[in-house]
Amino acid sequence: MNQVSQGSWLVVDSGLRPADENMALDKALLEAMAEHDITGVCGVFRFLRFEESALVGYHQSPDQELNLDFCCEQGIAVQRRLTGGGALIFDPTQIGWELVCHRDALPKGDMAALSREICLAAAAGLSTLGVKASFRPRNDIEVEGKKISGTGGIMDGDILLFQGTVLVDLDIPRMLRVLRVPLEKLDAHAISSVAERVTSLKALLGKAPALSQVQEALLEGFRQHLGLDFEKGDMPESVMALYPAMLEEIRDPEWININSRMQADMPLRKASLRAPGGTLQAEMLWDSFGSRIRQVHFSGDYFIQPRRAIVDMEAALRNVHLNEVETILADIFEKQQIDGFGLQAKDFASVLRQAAEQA
Amino acid sequence: MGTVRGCEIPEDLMYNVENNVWLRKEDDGSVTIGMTSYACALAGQIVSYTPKSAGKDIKKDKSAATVESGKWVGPLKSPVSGTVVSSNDEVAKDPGLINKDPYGSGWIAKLTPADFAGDSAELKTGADALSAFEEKMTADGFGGC
Repeated sequence: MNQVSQGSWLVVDSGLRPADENMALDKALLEAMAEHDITGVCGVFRFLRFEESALVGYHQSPDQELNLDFCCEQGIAVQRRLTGGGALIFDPTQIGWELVCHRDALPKGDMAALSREICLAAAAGLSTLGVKASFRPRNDIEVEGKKISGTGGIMDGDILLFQGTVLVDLDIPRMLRVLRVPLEKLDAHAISSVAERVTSLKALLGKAPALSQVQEALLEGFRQHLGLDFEKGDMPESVMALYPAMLEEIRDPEWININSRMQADMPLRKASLRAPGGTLQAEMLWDSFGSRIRQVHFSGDYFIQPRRAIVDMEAALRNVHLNEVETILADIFEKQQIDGFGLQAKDFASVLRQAAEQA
Repeated sequence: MGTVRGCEIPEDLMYNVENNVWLRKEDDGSVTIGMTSYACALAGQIVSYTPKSAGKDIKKDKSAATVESGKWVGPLKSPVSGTVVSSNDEVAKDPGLINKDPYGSGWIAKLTPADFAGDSAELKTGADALSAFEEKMTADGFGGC
């Protein structure tokens, strides 16, 4: 156990809300914590749920990450998070969790170490539900190689907010219509391919556990791994006093438009390569301005051991500059002792370069 | 060049140690600001950079830009009040420049200060800055760059 703080954390369940209200509460929590207006507790642990929404990370552009026409047609709210990471969908079946505190309420170390400790705690909690959850760098929680929770944070001086999702149930076809994914065709093959990479508690356990059960499991994970104590209560008055002004800021179009880039600057690129070990295909969303792979999906006719190597490579290659690709792949091949039966790290790098250089 | 626990801290720059930012007064009266090598070590590889636009007024200790690393977002807080003159187009294209050259080509913003004499009085430089960073690293439990 990595014991860090004395005293209790306030657990607040802010219930089911539209996305803008959840973002405004995040802003109000950060501000109240920074102004030392939340007293008597080490920090706040909030459970949050969303009416159907598509959320982009702080630095992302909705045009590049989402199918906005579909969102508009279906009444899916589009909102920007305060935290980093990639776009995701939220619906009322999913559970969000977050910690807001001063830096010294959590283990010391750099940002990567801090993410790891928080994700290990959340994974320990989910494991008490009967699934084998573990941390996957950089910021995911997975079960047997499939992602079940994504996370991201904001560090503002001495104050931090770190949040994650839990996929209790998942409608993959709908997710594929909301999010831009590195797949040319959204057919049955695409759905099964995504199902090999993402999972939910319902898929793993046969039925969706109750909301309260998942919440209690997460708290238990943070008790076990970080030694946190909890007491349940209402949202502090100091936060609710700031909330109306924060909601106004979030609803101002300036917020969603902080980063607004054209979809044409992040095209879908595709390439394939024949190598001694088989045929390898890469489809990727390519940031042509920053020469960065935003997301990649590998497929083709090949054998690779361990099987999870492909999803681990895809996770490690998210938002990576093209110049870093060789090093990252060589590192994964060495660490996981990957056997591609003739297919090597340089072949994966080569197919990515081909896709990037496509006219 | 000063060094604290393996992190370069040039002694000719001015620092807000708490916010982990540096400032250089330019000959034309403007200031250039950026992240310290210590801040870069804590953050890891920086993948996104969103600066405030030219012409925007920034108050002292408020955000002049945001950066992202490993899914963490963080503001870079300006050590002085002022108006943004320019942001760094090269960093916008390759945010990793901040890690590679934090005191040179990886600068974050250039500002025209509103009250340089007043705002800069609290900033540290030279040996004072080095000892303040040593103290901060101890408090943060930081092993070294």
